[in-house]
Amino acid sequence: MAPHQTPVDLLNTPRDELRLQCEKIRLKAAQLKKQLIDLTTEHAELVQVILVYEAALAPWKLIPDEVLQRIFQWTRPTEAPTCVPFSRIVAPMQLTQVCSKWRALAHDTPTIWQGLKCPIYLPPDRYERQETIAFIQSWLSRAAYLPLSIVAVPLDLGPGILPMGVRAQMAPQVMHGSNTGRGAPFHPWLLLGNKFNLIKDVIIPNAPRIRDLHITFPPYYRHTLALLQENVDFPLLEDVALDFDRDLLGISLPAPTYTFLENTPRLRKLRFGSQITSLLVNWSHLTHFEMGVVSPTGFMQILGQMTSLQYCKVGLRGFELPPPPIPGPPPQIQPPNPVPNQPNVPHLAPHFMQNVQIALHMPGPGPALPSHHAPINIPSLHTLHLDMGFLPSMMHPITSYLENLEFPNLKVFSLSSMEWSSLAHSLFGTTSLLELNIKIQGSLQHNILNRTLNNPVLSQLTHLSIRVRDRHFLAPPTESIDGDTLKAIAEGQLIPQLHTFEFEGRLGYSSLIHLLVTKGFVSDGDTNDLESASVIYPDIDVGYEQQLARPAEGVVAPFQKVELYRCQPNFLMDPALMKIQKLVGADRFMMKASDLDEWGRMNQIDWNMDE
Amino acid sequence: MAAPATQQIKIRCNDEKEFTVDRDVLERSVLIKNMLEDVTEQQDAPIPLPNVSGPVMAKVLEYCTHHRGEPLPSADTEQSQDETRKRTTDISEWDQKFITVDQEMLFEIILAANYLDIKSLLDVGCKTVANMIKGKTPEEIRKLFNIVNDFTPEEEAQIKKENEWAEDR
Repeated sequence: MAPHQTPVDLLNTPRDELRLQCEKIRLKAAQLKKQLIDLTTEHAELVQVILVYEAALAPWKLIPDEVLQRIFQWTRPTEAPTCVPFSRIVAPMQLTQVCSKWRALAHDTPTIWQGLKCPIYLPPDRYERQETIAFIQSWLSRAAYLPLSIVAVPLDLGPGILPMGVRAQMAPQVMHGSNTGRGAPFHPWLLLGNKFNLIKDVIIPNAPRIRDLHITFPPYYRHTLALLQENVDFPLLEDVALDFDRDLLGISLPAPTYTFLENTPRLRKLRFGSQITSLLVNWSHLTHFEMGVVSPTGFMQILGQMTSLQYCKVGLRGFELPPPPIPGPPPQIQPPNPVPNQPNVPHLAPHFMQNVQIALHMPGPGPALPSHHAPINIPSLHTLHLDMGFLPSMMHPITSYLENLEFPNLKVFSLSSMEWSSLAHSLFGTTSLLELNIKIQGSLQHNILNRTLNNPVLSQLTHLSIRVRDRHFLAPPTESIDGDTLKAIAEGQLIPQLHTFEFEGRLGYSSLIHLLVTKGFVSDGDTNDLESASVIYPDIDVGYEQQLARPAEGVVAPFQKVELYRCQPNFLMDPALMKIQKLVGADRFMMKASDLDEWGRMNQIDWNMDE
Repeated sequence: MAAPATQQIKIRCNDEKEFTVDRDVLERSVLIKNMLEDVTEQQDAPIPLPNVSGPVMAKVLEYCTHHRGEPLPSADTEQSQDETRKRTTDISEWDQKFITVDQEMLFEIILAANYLDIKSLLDVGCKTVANMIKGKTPEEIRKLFNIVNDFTPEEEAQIKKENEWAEDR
């Protein structure tokens, strides 16, 4: 120890050194911390710069604007996009919210703004009228010079609640709107004064630009159709559909309500969900015509007057329905002109008709369809759909009428909701069908089916679809088709050219297996070229399981696709079917369980019945 | 009698890669078809294609070979397609497999189809990108294509206002 050093000094020296060292470390740590912050900041900045470079070099940036606009055109939804309220995941509004360039380009792509769907009315508490009109108008203005397509639909917000007394007091005319007078949904804000109305606020101001106009009138709103009569011209109109709430289906629209369709030289497609009282003269140019309900006289008028018609779809009623007076505004509506009963057979000239769809309603009393002395030839008719409404076809006047027609080029014939006894009788006028679709109510009568399928007019058939509707769960679990008939169809014994066979109905487990994999079926694989089979399978009787022919390894039914619907849940795990699924290939063999809720309800009903 | 030999045409890409291809395959490209029609004498020099690289041209030729012999879309077809109110973005199974490539190649193919004027290939590419866009939010589209949200405050305000008519405002 040095003479001048005290013991305290001896302790102070290392302490000071340590303090110094500590300070150095603190300073170093602070320096490093600052460095870390600087580096982190620098890194973040670099990442941002890289992102900018990456964004600048993003592959889509290579694409010229006109190609990007072409891509935008393909983003258009198949149906007109809803404008109010619009979806941010649907073009065109989706495209305007991505970046500045896309927004500007989307605004400059007229084709994506050509069409819009909008509720015919909107709740005023949510959408201010003037601002909504401005929003829709700015949408349509982006379509520039292009013609417009507008779809007006009811807004489904659920029925409002308003006391009956208030309804009657505030809107007696509205109450008249329904021919049933009860049960239809009612929105209280329909009664408010200055509310948005698509017809008044959008359709009429844009009438000169509209090419397609589809309106589905909600309950109580049919009278707004009358707004279109007031000096509104639609010079570009080509396609019009006017549908009505279901409670208005039975009524007839008097002519004044659709006279706006008189000055429409380009009109080619027209659909009325309801009935109309008379045809307009300029409709002779129509190529497509649909009407929910038409009388036999009206149907004859259509065939006689619309000489350019290629597609006709009507609901045929067996009697004339007197048109009721139309209540409510506007007051200038005149009483309808009754349909004149023409004693003479009109001259029919359906030379261009390619597709006819007729649904039969009750025959009832009324004038029968006129008969012709010589058969009428419809040379272009390719497709005929006939929904028999569960009426025996020979009882309905349409059947005897159709027997007088010749369709030498008919290729597709669909018969729905018919009785078995009518089937063989209904193949009138056909010569060389390629596709036959049969939808039948009740159990299948094999002798009629066999007789029908042996008809020479079906010798060229390539597509056969049989749907048997016998869905009552209390019905006895019998098969809709017997195994031998099924096998004969599937193996081409009845129709050699058949390559597609769809069957919907009850099928026993053993028949199904028989159809999919049996020794005889597969060994004749060379002659059997069935490509697909869709089997609706509502009931599986597991009691058949012991009789199954198990699929052998390597034996695969010659189907390209097998789809089984509505199977009982336990059927999905059936080892035989799982084996077939494995052999055919999981991607070509689809089994779908019955809807569990449906099963739950059925079980519940069964349980209640047991009680 | 032997079938007439198909004329073989040489093309050179921007990376000097050369291809010798049947004339009918190359004529899927309206650009090359017009070039060939303008040349009366047979030339051995390859046709230069300065805007297409070898790998992209290989894909384009794969497409043209598969679709050789099919009718070329006319201007009328093009017009009527644009006019069609319900256009479908369905793509055939083969085309779908063909166009399953990374994003960079996808846009390169679109660019090449546009340059070479092969309408059907351009549509396959555009439909594929359109299908990628469909059903996505603007934010998801930005992420998918590496797009920066560069809206000005004015545009942001306008979009906010427009969203008052959006279903999920």
